[in-house]
Amino acid sequence: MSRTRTEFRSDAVARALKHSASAGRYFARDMAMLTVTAAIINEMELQGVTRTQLAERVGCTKAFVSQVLIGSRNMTLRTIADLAWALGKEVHGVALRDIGTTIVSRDAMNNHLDQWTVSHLEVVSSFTGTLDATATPNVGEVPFA
Amino acid sequence: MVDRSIVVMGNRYVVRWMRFRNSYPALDYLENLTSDAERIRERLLSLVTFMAEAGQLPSAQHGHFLSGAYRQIFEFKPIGHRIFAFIDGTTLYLTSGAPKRSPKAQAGDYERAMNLRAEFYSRKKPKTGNN
Repeated sequence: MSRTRTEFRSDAVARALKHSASAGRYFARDMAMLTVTAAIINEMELQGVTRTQLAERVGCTKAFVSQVLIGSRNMTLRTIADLAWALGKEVHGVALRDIGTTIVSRDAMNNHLDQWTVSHLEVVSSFTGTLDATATPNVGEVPFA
Repeated sequence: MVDRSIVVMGNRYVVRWMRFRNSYPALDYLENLTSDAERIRERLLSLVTFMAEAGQLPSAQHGHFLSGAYRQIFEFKPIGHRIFAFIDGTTLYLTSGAPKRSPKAQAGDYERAMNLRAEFYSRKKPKTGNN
């Protein structure tokens, strides 16, 4: 049986998250925000649209757009739709997945890291258009292993 | 055998905690946070996971390579903190962390990350053969 990414466990991550009471809640939030903001920023770059121009189109301040795009301000579904609209786009396709596979630190808390990142990698990969959940990257030389 | 240093394996990068003197300085930093710790840890993990998969972060406000003498150091920017890293081939090593400070005051943290990177390469065995 070939080795897949899901077989790699990270005790270090479990250590990092062992005190986590909310068990991945923030991680899930941040991944969602990164995915959405990456899609918007990517489209802005493709079209050569600046934050100032986007703010003018939406009818808000540049500061507001900046805060939304860096994740310091919570964005509503309406805001997401408005930003997409201002770029001539609409939000298409939102996938929800089983919480046990999408929240990494829940696995970490329980020391069950088998499902580490696989399902949310699919979400992230939608940004780059690449998806290979079973590929094992070239790790290279590891001097301290 | 489980590799304890792996944080996440993405399509673009494998992210590892860099080991130094039998510890992982970046991980130790995250473990010793006292205020808003879990939020910061999970923010950092989301940033490195995204980086591992996409090969870049959405904007420089999420993280970026430093400039000038520290240009080999990548800085992740979870809320109020800075986690430093460098890239070796397809592996991204998290070296150390520090609270966010003014650019001038942060220079010492950049130096530490550079020193850890130098330590890494001083120990890395040169590749042999035709590979």
